[in-house]
Amino acid sequence: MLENFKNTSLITKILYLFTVVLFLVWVIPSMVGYYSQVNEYQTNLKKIEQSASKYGLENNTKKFNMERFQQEARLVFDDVNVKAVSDKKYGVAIKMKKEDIKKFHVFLEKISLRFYVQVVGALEFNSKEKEVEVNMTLLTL
Amino acid sequence: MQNQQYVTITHYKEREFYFLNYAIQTNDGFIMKDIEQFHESEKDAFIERIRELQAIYPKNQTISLSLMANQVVKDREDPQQASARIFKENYVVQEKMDIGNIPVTLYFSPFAVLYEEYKEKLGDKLTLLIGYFDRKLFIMFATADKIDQSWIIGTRGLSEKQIANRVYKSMKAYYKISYKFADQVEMLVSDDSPKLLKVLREELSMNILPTQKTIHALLHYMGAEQSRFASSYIKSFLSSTQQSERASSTYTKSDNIDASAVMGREAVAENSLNDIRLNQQTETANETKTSGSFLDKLIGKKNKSPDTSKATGLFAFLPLLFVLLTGGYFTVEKSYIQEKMNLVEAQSLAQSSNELLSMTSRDIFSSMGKSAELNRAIISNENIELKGVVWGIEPLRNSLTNLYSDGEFIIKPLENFMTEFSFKSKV
Repeated sequence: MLENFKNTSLITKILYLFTVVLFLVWVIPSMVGYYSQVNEYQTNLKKIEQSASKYGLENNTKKFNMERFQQEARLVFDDVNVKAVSDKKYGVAIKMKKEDIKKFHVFLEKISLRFYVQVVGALEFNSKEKEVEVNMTLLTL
Repeated sequence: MQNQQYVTITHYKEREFYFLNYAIQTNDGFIMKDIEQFHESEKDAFIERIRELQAIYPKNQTISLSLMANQVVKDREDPQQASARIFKENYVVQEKMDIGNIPVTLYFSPFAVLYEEYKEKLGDKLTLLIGYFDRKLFIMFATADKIDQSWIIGTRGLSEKQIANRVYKSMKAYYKISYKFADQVEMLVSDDSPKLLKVLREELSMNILPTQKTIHALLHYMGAEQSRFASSYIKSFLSSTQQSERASSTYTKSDNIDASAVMGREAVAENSLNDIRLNQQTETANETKTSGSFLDKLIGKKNKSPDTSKATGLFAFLPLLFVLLTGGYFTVEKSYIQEKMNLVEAQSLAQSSNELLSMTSRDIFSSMGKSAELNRAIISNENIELKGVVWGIEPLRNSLTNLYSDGEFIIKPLENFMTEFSFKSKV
C-alpha cells in the first residue's frame, strides 16, 4: 500500500495531502460546529416549547405581519392600531377598559410566542376616565 | 531546379513542443542541421515547415518516433493494431499510429531504435537494453534471436537516483520471473542529462556505459538506409483507402524522388501488403493465442501506461471530491442552522424580556390597590415613572417602596382637595 503510494506521481501525492489537510482544517471543524449548533438549537427550541405549553399554545410562531397581528389583537381588545415606525419597528396602540388590564398582561406574555417580535423600550399607559391606552413599540426578529 | 540530395526529416513531440530537424545523408554519414522547436499551438506552422522541407528536398524520408507508453512487444503481429517487426520473432504493437495529420513516412518504436543501436552486441548471453526517451524507460531483455521480456516504465517527476533505482528494480523483477540476471546492460539515453549518466554509473553495480544520442540523431540513422528501416518501421493495419489517403497526404511529389527512395518505398508498400496477407491468414488462429507480453502479465501494475496514470490521478480526485462535498454540505447546513438558531435565541430572549415587562407592569398595577389611581405610567425593564391620584398615601408609599426601595415618591396637593403622586425608580 505504502509502496503503491510512493510510486504515485507528485501531483497525486500533493492532491492526497491537500485532501487530508482540507479534511482536517475545514470538514472536521464544520462537522463539529454543525452538530454543536444543532444541540444548542434543540435546547433553545425546547425552552420555547415549554413556554408555549405554559400558555396553552402550540409552538407555531409566525413571521410578523401588521394585518395579521391587528386581526389577532382585535380578538382580545376592541381598539388596536398598528403603524410602521421604521424598517423593522412597529408602533402599537391598544385601548381597553381599565378592568381588562390583566388581559393585556397575558397578551404581552404571549406576544413573542405568536409572532417573531420583541417589545422594545417602555410601555406607556395613559388613563382617561374608565379607559386605558397603552402604547408600545414592537421590533421584528 | 530540384535539390537531388537525400534528406531525412525527423520530428517528435515531447510534452507541448514539436521538435523538427533534417539532415543531409551522405556516404560518410549524415550532416544534421539546426533543431527547430514549435509549440503545439503552432502546429500548422510546424506542418507547413515539414512540407516546405519536403518540397525543397524531394528525395526525403519524414521520420518520427512513437513515444506512446502503450507499446507492447509480442510474439505475433496483431491485425487490428499498428505493428513493426524487430527481431525475427518479435513485433512491437501499439493500438494505432497517433500522428494525426502530421506528415510521416517512417514511424519507429523506441524498441526498434534500441535494437538497431545494439544488435551487433547481442549474442547468446542475456543483455538488458534500456532506452531512456521522453522520461520513459523502454526496457528489454534480449538475446541475438529474440526479446525475452520488455516493458515501459514512467519516470516523470523522479530524481536521477530514483530512475536508477527503477532500473535496478526492473532487473530484480525480471529475475523473479525468469531466475536469470542479465549478463550485460546497455543503455541509450536520448536526453541531455550528464547527471543521470553519472548517477546510473554510481547506483548500478554492474558495468554500464550509457550511450547518449539525441532522438533526431537516432532517427536520421534509422532512415539512412532502406535495408535498415525496411521492416522495423511501424505499419498501420488500416484499410487500403485510408492507407492511400494517408500516403497522399504525407508523401511529396513522387516524380522528384530518386530511384533508391522509390525502391525503398515500394519495398515498404510490398512489406505492408505482405503483412496484411500474413495477418489475414493467421488472424483467426492468432486471435485466441495472441496475448500480452510476458511482462504485461508479470508487472501489470508496475508497467504504468498513461491510461493507468490518468486513472490513478482521477482516482486521487475522488477523496478530494468527497471532502469538498462533505465540507460544502456541512458548511451550508451550519449556516442554515445558525440562522435558525439566531432566530430561536432572539425569540427566547424576547420572551424573557416580555415576561419580565409584564410582571413589572402587573406588580405596579397591583400596588395601586384602592389607595390610588394611575393617570400615566411609563414602564420598562430599566426604569419606571408613575403619576396619578392618591387617596391613601402611606399604603401606596409602603407598597411602592416594598417593590422599589430606592424609588422617589413625591406627593403634591391639588386644588380640588385631591393629592397627586409621582414615583420614579430604576428597576
